[in-house]
Amino acid sequence: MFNQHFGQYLLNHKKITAAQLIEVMDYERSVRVKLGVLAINAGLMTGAQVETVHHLQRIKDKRFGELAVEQGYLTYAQLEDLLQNQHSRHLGLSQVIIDKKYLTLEQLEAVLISYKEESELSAGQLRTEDIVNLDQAGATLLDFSAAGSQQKVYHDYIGLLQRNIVRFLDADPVISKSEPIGHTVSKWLVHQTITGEINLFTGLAMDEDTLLEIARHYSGEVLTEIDELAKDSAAEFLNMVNGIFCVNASNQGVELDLQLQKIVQNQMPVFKQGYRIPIDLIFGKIDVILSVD
Amino acid sequence: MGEMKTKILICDDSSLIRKQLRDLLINMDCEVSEAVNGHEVVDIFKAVEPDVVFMDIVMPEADGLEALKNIKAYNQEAKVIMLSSVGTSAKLIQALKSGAMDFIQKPYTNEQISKVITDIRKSALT
Repeated sequence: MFNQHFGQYLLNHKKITAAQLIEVMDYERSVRVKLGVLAINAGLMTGAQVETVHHLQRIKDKRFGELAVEQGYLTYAQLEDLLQNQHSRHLGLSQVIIDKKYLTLEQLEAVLISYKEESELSAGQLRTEDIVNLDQAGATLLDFSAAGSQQKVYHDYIGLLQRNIVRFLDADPVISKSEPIGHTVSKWLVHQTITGEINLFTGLAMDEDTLLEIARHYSGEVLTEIDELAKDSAAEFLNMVNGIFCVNASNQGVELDLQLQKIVQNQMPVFKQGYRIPIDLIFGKIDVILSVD
Repeated sequence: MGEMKTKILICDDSSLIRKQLRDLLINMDCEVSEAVNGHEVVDIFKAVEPDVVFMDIVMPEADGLEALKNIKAYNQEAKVIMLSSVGTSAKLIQALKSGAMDFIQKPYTNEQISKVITDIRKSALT
């Protein structure tokens, strides 16, 4: 996710061209991030300090880490932490940009600082890194073991949904025990299918008042009835969650796509397998319907 | 005589996104047109000749990537910004290779949209 956002940020701010971004994204999966880029990203070394160590490497037969410690730029503990992160793909994009000489180390340092500052400012925008894992309390209530190898999909999805409910709808949702999908009857169903290497039906079933409240909370609009705007607002909430789910999967090498989101009244598809997860919100109750095909 | 307003075309099947973008862009003194699918947007593009298009990807009838290709085939210089919830690497690369100027993942911020408009106005002056 970092690479995705950072790549878009570089493009938005005209730090690299679209052609260069395509090229670096093609390469970034295979690149090994070097300590200099990791140290700049962590704010432990400046671009100029990394350049100094690179210069010393040309005249001394020593590794980057040893020289950085010798120069007093890093402590051994900091070096240890950086080495542990070296196999992460997290910063592959930055490394390729340096390798391709699209930016200097000092330019990368400056753009990472401004990127992080602007990311803080736009805290309303979702960051996937902190919404992947389900809260421990919720995880203990959810038993997806019957789903076998697919249980991680269910856990990841509910974790993501829970975090976005907290962010947009209700600070304190209460998740109840998951049940086999069975026969669920609800007045309204917002649903969308995620397709690709896995096929996942996602739905939020609820009554009319709850639908209207979800629409109001997510859109911030004044809504008094279930009209097109209200229905689209509730559907857009699900679409946003599912879009992030696809991006998370893509970052783990699984390509997924979204089908159109839909909203229906007094209709519930029939599933061979899947789960219903009740969630109580301050303004009503939703049943989350999930089925991996 | 007043300055020409920046002409924006929004293409999204969600009435929420269209409304919120329209409200924001009108506040930025833009002239806004709207389309609800990938077929309609091409026709409206030809009629309006907007300065920039904000284009969703997942839409009924024709999706945003198909519409992007059709718009670029009509006008190679067209400025199209993809605005989608599906910001995967594959989609980003596909959009850029098809000639998209930029890619903004939903939910967008007002600052992101404002920056696009500022850049378009600057580029019009040079």
